[in-house]
Parts: sequence; C-alpha cells; structure tokens
Amino acid sequence: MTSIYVVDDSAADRRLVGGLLEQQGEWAIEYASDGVEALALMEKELPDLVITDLQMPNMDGLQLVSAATERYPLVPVILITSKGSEEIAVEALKHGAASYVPKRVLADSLIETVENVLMLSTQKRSHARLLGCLVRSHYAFELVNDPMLIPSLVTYLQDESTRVGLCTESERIRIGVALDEALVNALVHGNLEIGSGLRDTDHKTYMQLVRERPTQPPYSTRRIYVEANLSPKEGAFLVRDEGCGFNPWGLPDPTDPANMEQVGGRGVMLMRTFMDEVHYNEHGNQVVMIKRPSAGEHSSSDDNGSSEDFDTSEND
Amino acid sequence: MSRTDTFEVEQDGDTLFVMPLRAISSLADESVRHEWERVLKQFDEAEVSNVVFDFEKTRYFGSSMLEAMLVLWKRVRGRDGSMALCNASHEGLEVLQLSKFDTLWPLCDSRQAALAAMHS
Repeated sequence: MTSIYVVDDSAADRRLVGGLLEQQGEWAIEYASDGVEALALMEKELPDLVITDLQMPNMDGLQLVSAATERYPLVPVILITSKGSEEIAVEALKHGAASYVPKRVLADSLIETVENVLMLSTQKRSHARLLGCLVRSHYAFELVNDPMLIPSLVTYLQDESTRVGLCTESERIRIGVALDEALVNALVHGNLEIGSGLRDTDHKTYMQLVRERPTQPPYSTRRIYVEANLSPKEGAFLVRDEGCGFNPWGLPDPTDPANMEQVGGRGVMLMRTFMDEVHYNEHGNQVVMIKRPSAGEHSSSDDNGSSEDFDTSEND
Repeated sequence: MSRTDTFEVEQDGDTLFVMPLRAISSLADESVRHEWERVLKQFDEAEVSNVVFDFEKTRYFGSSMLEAMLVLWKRVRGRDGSMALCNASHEGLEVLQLSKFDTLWPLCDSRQAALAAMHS
C-alpha cells in the first residue's frame, strides 16, 4: 500500500489534508507535527511521498525539503504553501521539492498533484532499480580536435561513473580531473603536436598554434579515440591520439624545486595521483587509466572487472 | 569589477582578485583562452602589483588552471608583487598541495587572510 506522511504543526490542517487523502481509500497516511519528527519517522520507515506545510516550529517545510531530498532522493516531497509564499515555493522547487499546492486550492488540486507525483516517482524508482541491476557498460567515442568537446565528454563519463556506482562525489572529481588531463594531452600534445615547453618559452606562439592547427593538415584529420568500461568495481578509461606520441617516463618531476615554475608538466602527475593505475603504450600515444572505488564504497557485485579489455601490458 | 562566464576580476587597491567561476578544462578552449587573455590584459593595464586567486566558486581544477596561475605569477613577480590563493575546496587544496604550489604562495581560507599573508 502506498504510504504518505503528512507534516503540519496544525492539527486542523493535518486533519484537512489527511481527510482528503483518506477519501481515496488506497493510501496509508501517517502524521508528523514538524520536520524533525518527519525525518525521525523517515529514518524508521520510508514513505512513498511526503506532504508538508511550509511554516512549522523546529524545522520548517523548506528545511525539510532540503534535508529529505538530500537523504532520500527517491522520496518526493510536496509543499503546501500559503498565500504570499510563491517565492518560497520556487525556492523549494530549487531545493528539490517535487511540487507544491497552494492552501487555497487544496481541495481541488491536492489529489491530482499527489497522483502525478506518485506516478513520476514510481517511474524514477523503477529506473533507479534497473540501473542498480547494471553490471557493466561500454562506451566508445571518436572525437575531432575540438576542445569544446572535452568538458562535455568528461562530464558525461563522470555521470556514468556515478550512475554505475563506481564513485562518490569526491572520487567523481578525481576521475574528472584525470580524464580532462588525458584528453587535453591527446589533443594538444598528441594530435596537434604542440610541445608543452613552448608554453614557457613563447606563450603567444603556443596559443596561436592551438588556434590554427585544428584546421591544418595533417593535424586536422586526426581523431581522439576514447573508450570506457564502467562497472561498480572498476572504471577503465582508454584515450588514444593519432600523434607521434611522447615519452611519459622522461617527464621532469614537476614538484622538483628546479621545475616548480615551469608552466607545463603537471597533467600526467595528476592523472597518476587520481587514478589507481595509469598505463601508457610504448609509443606514448595511448593511455589506459584504471579507477577503483575506495574501500567500502562500491556496492557488492559479482561483476568482472573492466580493465582486461584494454591492453595495459606494454608499459606503466 | 569585470565578469565573464569564466572569470570575475576585481581590483582593490594594489591587488587584483581573480575568481574562476567554473572548472577550467583547458586553455585550448577558445572561449576560456580569450577570457584568460582578458584577465592578463587587465593585470597589465591595472596599477596593481599583487594578485589573489579566489577559488570560492570553483570546486576543482586541473593543470590548465595551474598553468594559468604560473603565467600570471611571472608577471606579478616582474612587478615585485606577491600572490596568494584563497577559498580552495578540499579537492582544490589537494591539487595545489600535490603540485607543491603551497610552497610558492600562501593558501588561505579567506580574502582577508590572503591579503594579510601577502603583506606579512
């Protein structure tokens, strides 16, 4: 049976809202008199929906929306607003409220709003359950030399890594930084063959080459190949360019005081720090980066890892 | 104060505050490059000798941001000025410390602390 929590400090309003809901006969209603009490109830058992008044002691409706949607993102919250609180309703929607119903149209609109929100919520939960069954996904991209594509691809792969349960928010950022570094290297140093030393010696020429070479042969026909195998146990990311490659083992240590003020040379260091494994091929034009969840982070799964699909044997 | 999609720049006395407004992927990105060149031009044209990078609006950044900071640092040093960084997130601090940039400039938790650190 669908369960709904009604949160209001006014007993009369609780009865009003509860009465409207109980008329449907198919919903189990429970009551709380403020946000704190509602969260305590949610901790014991999650409802399918929360309907809350805006103004309450201890924890008001807006605070409840924020706290509940952060802790229980799959439980929708509907806010009941009084006259003159439209701006707060907008604020509540920004904080994650599923919808709001003005108190003056409660009798006419509450049931319809509840039904719509429950329907959407059911779809969302099914989708989340389905994704919970996802054990592995593979992605392959072929990019032209357009720097604008890099942030979009990084964000996409970060989202997918989060979706399969590979990473927390903090790990998501580390994956993003490492991917970004690998892609920028593939584009600028790989396909466009612009050496990082030029940034120190002639920044203007460096910028000019970055601007011009994507449209000039042979650079213009080169592509960046990106593949990712993602599972809750491991993310494997392959980035390959069509440039001449470089010697990743010959990079100067950017943290050596003698190199500290050189403009370039930190990308590979960040990749190596933020990923669990980084492997270059012998030509230095392909890198495979492996990311595993931190201890206790990933969900239990019998999934196989992902990195075995990418050849990481050449060098590391 | 000037503001673009990527940077907010504000002058206060002899200090220029540079606040990145989003994660900077690459200076190869035409729009970012253009906006960064505007920041450099602002520094060149302003009568300032100090710079504070304020990371309050950027949760993370990579080597492109580090490069940009070094480029500006070289100009700051050309004026015998100082540089400081403030309001970096946990992840931002991690990148700065990994790069040992904390040995080049003070990492502070507010603009006031950054100003004080530069003048100490």
